[in-house]
Amino acid sequence: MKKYLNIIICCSILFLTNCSFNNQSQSIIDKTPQIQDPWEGMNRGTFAFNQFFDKYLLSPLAKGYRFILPGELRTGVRNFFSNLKEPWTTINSVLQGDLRNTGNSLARFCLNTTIGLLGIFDVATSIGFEKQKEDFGQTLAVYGVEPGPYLVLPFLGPSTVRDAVGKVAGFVGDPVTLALNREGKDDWLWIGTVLKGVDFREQNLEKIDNLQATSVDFYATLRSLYIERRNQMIVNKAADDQDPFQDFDLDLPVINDFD
Amino acid sequence: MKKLIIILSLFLCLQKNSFAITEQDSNDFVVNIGNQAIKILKIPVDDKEKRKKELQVLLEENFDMSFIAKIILGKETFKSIPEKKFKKFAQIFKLHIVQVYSSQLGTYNGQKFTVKSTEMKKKDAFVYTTIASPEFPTTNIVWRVRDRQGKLKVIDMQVEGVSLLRTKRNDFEMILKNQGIDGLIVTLQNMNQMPDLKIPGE
Repeated sequence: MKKYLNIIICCSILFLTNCSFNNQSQSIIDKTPQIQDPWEGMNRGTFAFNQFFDKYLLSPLAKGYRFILPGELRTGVRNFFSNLKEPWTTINSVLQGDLRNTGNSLARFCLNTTIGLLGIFDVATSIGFEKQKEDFGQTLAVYGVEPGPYLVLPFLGPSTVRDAVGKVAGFVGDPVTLALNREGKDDWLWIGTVLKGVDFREQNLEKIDNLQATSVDFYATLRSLYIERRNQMIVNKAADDQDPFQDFDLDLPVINDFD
Repeated sequence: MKKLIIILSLFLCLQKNSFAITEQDSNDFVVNIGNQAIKILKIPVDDKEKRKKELQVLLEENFDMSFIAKIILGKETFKSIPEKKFKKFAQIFKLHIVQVYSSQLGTYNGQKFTVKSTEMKKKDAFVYTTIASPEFPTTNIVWRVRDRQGKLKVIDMQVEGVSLLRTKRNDFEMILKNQGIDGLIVTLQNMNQMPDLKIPGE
């Protein structure tokens, strides 16, 4: 009898030990989509073309833009274009059922268009309405559309099949685009697109150049950055709510083996 | 029987001690890193050598670089190479990371580092922080902190959803596949020799 009692006590201690560990731990779930790149050969070709385009046209244009326009004016231009994207963000927030951001983007557009002088000044952010861009690719993701293979678009860069469809929808369905089309001012659309591209490159001149200089495989680095960043935007939560580092879950052998 | 209970209790205590990491300790640990990083931002951009040196100290003191290097190589590669070669890689990799971050660290423009919350998951603490700047949108950084041989160490960081570990693993994947560890070491050595890059805000 005593022997059985001993075994029960030992088992109880071990069980309690195990329980206390389990109580402390929480599972870390992998929510990060795996990178699918079946068209890597073609993508690397497009990537090389984009690199060429960047080296000989976009980057010099961005440097010239920085040289000509002072920082304050560049910020004004950036704010102006960003404000024009707010109606599309509002529509996508509605489609996603995100009432909070619907109100937020609507308030941002109203405030910045009026008090912010057609969006040149981002007064909304200083009041507390922080920018949260939503596009149709994100909307598709909310409805459960998978990203599909990774895709590098000529001139536009990293994307996925889903996000590329989202970009086309954004180009066609954006209320600002529709208004310009209606008024027969298509030229402004192209000028705006080019200016936005140049402004983005100017804003990230050193960051992108340095990232390239410190990457062994710049294509893979950008692919990784795009997929992870995009996933974070789609999850649409503050970092506090997310499970980070998912594919390095402690249950996976890769990290445990080194302990 | 008493002996057995004592041994089991000791085992329990030892196990508990290996999970000694607390939210408060991790919090303080990351706050200290944030303060060190802000100090580096304040170093004039002309003094790139000092910036790099300080960043290296920060990494050596607070990051488990050897552990990170192992994970980035992956289990198979790590197990297939001699220890000496791994040590060589780890040293070169550390310098590479210094170069990566020193080239991305901008200048000080009133950035404020804040710890938002800390969460315990298994044996790691996840510290959620933000860097607020008057000029740029707020940046979210999550630090994964683990008790490594009695000292708290960062084993990964995630900037705006982008993990250092995952990015570098992807970056090295192809060269490891095509040229192996030797190819990677030579490439990183060459990259570490390149002149200082122009940093954002310079």
